[in-house]
Amino acid sequence: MRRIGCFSVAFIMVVVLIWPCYMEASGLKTGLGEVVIENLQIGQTYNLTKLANLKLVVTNTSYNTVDLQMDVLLPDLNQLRQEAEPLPDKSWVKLSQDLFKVDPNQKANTDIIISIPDDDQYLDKKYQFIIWSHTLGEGGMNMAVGLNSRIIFTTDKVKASHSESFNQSDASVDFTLKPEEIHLDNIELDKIYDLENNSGSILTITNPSMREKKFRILSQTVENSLATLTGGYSDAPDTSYLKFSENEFVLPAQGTRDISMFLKFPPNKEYSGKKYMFIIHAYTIDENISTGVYSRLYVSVK
Amino acid sequence: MKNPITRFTAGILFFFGLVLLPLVVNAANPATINVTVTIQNLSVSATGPLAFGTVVASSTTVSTDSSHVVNDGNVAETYAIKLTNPGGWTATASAPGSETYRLGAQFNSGQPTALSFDADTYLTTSDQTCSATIFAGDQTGLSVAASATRYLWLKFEAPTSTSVTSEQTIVVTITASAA
Repeated sequence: MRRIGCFSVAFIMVVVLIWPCYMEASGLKTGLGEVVIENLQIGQTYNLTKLANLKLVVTNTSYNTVDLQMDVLLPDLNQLRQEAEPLPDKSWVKLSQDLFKVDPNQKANTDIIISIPDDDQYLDKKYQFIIWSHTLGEGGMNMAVGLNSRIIFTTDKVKASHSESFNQSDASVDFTLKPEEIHLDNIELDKIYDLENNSGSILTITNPSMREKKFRILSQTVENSLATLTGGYSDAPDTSYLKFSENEFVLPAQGTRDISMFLKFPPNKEYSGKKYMFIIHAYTIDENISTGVYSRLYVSVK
Repeated sequence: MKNPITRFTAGILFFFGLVLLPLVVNAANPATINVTVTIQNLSVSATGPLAFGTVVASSTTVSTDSSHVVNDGNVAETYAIKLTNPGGWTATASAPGSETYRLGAQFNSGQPTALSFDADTYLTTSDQTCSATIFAGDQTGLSVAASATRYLWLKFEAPTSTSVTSEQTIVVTITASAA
């Protein structure tokens, strides 16, 4: 009897997933792939929206409404960057909202609130956590998508007095530097390249805020930046090889500026056949909190 | 010979000098807070669903279509993949049994054979980060360039026996991180 039962079950048709099939795309986008916040104070709570107008904003790029969830995760060892440690406790981070129903091309946004215990053991540390924004794959979509936003922060070496510490400002990291990546291949040594002509890329910085801001732009090595070296590339041998049409400027409210870039490697054969990565760093100056963004220049030498 | 009062005063100064110096050092000004968005644009999309239709117990089926996974962002991305079990079944990385199934995932330009799904392709309920071998066919989900498309194929190995006969949905989640 039992054997017959099993035999019957073995030939029962098992229906898996959705049938009939029609393909749709599910997608998400965010402007916060990775952020590094330096010199936070122990014993303080920081709402990053109030600190630097920094929110996690995720856009639903699907054609359908999606259920979106945001979770705070502690990184695995292989997810750690810049010699950071995993955050000691997930409870240090709160999101103002973590469940959303998002229509196509609409955005979900949340405040990120970091509370650091008032304990000297947390002085001079570098911690990382992840915010995982993901669809729930419901409504006939069995392919769900997610984005991991990396948040890395350091704590100050010293504890500020009450009067010295602050957790809000009118600083805003809402400006953009485009494109985020520029590629220039097979360059020759001892030749000046105007990146607009040679790669089709012109660097554009946009200040969407309602107030004027002063910016500085410079070339950095990866080692002296907060970025991670991309596999297959060596760090920029000398930042002076990359120059800009201007290094300091004021952008009016909602203003945009195009910056020309010029690259020249000297006639040193050790660069031949190599690939290099430069960091382009634009940041605000003359503010009580400095806010900045990165672009990356990838160069291969003939 | 020094006046004892002077010596006493000097002693106090020496004492406070030693004690106060570290306090002065510790009372250094707090550093300026810097906020730097080092990666500005992360985006991913995937087509679906992938349907297996009606399958029999103990059978193995490779999907006849792939999910098109696109890096819509402006930086290279690495994917991680996991599944969420349906109500009636549990995923396993070993051979399926009663009420357990195995789901493989592989990035490949064309439909792969069932035999090409090896141990590195089996999905679990925890994220597994793509590498040169994990979920790899002739494509990988490792450091996928901006604007690039990858084709993700699934292989379903059905339970050997089951009491579930209704349609089951297994959610496969593809998460992108900046590479």
